[in-house]
Amino acid sequence: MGRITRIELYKVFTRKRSYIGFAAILIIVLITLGAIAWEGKDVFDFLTQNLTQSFYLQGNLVNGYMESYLVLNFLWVHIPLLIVIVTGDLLSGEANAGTLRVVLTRPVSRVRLVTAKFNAGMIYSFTLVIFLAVISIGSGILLLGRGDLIVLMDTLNIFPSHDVLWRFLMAYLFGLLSMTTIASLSLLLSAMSNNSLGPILSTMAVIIVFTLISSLDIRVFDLIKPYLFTSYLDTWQMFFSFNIDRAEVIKNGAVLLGHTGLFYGLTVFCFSRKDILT
Amino acid sequence: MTAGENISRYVNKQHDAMKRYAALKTVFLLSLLCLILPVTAQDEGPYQVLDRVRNKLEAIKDYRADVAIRVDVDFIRMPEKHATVFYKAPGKTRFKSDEFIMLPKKGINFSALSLLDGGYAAIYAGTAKIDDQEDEIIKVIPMKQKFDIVLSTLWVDTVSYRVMRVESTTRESGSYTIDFTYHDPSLPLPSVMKISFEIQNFNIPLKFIGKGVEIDRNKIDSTEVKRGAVILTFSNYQVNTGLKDEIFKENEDREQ
Repeated sequence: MGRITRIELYKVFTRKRSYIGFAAILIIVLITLGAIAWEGKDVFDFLTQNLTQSFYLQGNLVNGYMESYLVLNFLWVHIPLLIVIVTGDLLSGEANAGTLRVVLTRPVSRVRLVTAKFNAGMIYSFTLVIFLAVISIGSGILLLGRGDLIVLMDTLNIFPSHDVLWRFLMAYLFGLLSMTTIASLSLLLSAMSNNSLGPILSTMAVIIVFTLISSLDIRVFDLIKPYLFTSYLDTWQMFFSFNIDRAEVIKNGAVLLGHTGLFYGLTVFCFSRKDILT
Repeated sequence: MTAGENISRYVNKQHDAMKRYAALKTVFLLSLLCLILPVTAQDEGPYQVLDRVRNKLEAIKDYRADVAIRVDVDFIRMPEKHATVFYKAPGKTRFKSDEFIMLPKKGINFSALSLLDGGYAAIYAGTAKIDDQEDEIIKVIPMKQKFDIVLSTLWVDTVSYRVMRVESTTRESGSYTIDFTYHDPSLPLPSVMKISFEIQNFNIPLKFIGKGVEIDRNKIDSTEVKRGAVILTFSNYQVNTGLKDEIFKENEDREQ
């Protein structure tokens, strides 16, 4: 790891706002755990109400894996917003504080600076996702125990407990890939702005609008969907299917990686040509 | 009339008489066969057949077995599950498993013994082949009050006196079919039991559907009834080992 990246990481992790994400995740996990402990059985009964007309269901499906799966669903809506709070501020925050000009007076190229900020943003995103994984799975198993996992997709999929952990691992790995795209988009917008709030809010707006278009089942949007990176963020869900479409997973991963590369390239391009006035 | 003609006429007459005798013999034999055949198929009568089935089953006081459970319903994806089944006469059953298991409400508790216990009317309904084996079909109408089964049709193998198939119509839970396969000739207990039943299409509450789930509104709104099956494969039978009632206690507590 380069010295500049270490400096950027120091900057990231010494700011209080960087811990908002961790605190929010802790709260999300605790709330989900509490909700499942209190009402998990009722929710499960509600979900399976017309199944119990035909079957005796024996065994515990309200368990740590169920909680972890519910938390995992936050990956594609809430976690990107928490990441953006930090990564959207990496360049614009310094421009806003007036420190960017000082930083660039030192013998460091703009490309190296952007790369260091990009690396710091990625590491922060990884840390947040790994924290989410450890906290949700760890606390879930510890407090609610292991068991088979029920997933409602097009069909009702029930995975035996020994077949679950690797799926979570793969889902989180794909989640990491998704979050790098979000982080790089916010870094790009951050490079274009001189105030902290603008890139954060605009990245959030892009995510919300794109996600809305990606999830709405309207034919007009079908033409646009393949070009929106948000259409690929939820690919992690494919790991909770019995027949994983590997080609689709690889293709979607490549699309997200391509977006990350594109956003990074554009950030370098924009920042290199930017007039640093603050 | 010459002597030659007389001989010829005599021979012809004798020949006609022989032909008539042969025809009569054929008719007699056929009539006898017609009389005998139904008697052979019903030589014991449905009650006697069912009594022999019951006698065989009554020899089983209790058993435990390993069971592999496969759910064959098109909207449920679940790998094969494993459990241990315990049975104690007259009708205690328990499935014990560390895994999550799904057992059909229809048919899982079917017992030919309980069907044939407490009075019933039996009607012979012919024969049919299951897996190239001729079985007798007997319709059973239980006379017991509050018994869930209204009518059962049993396919009975009259060589081994084992039930090969059951079609039951119940008061409240529709109808179901159970197909039995036996691998151990010394046991009246099945190696494979396939329970087929009607099941309503599973409606996933929309509130809980995540992104990426394709919604087919026709499917969601439909009250379409589908056929489903649960296949139970039994192994390692341990018969008449004297199972204790405590094994079934947990089940009874849950039912209360």
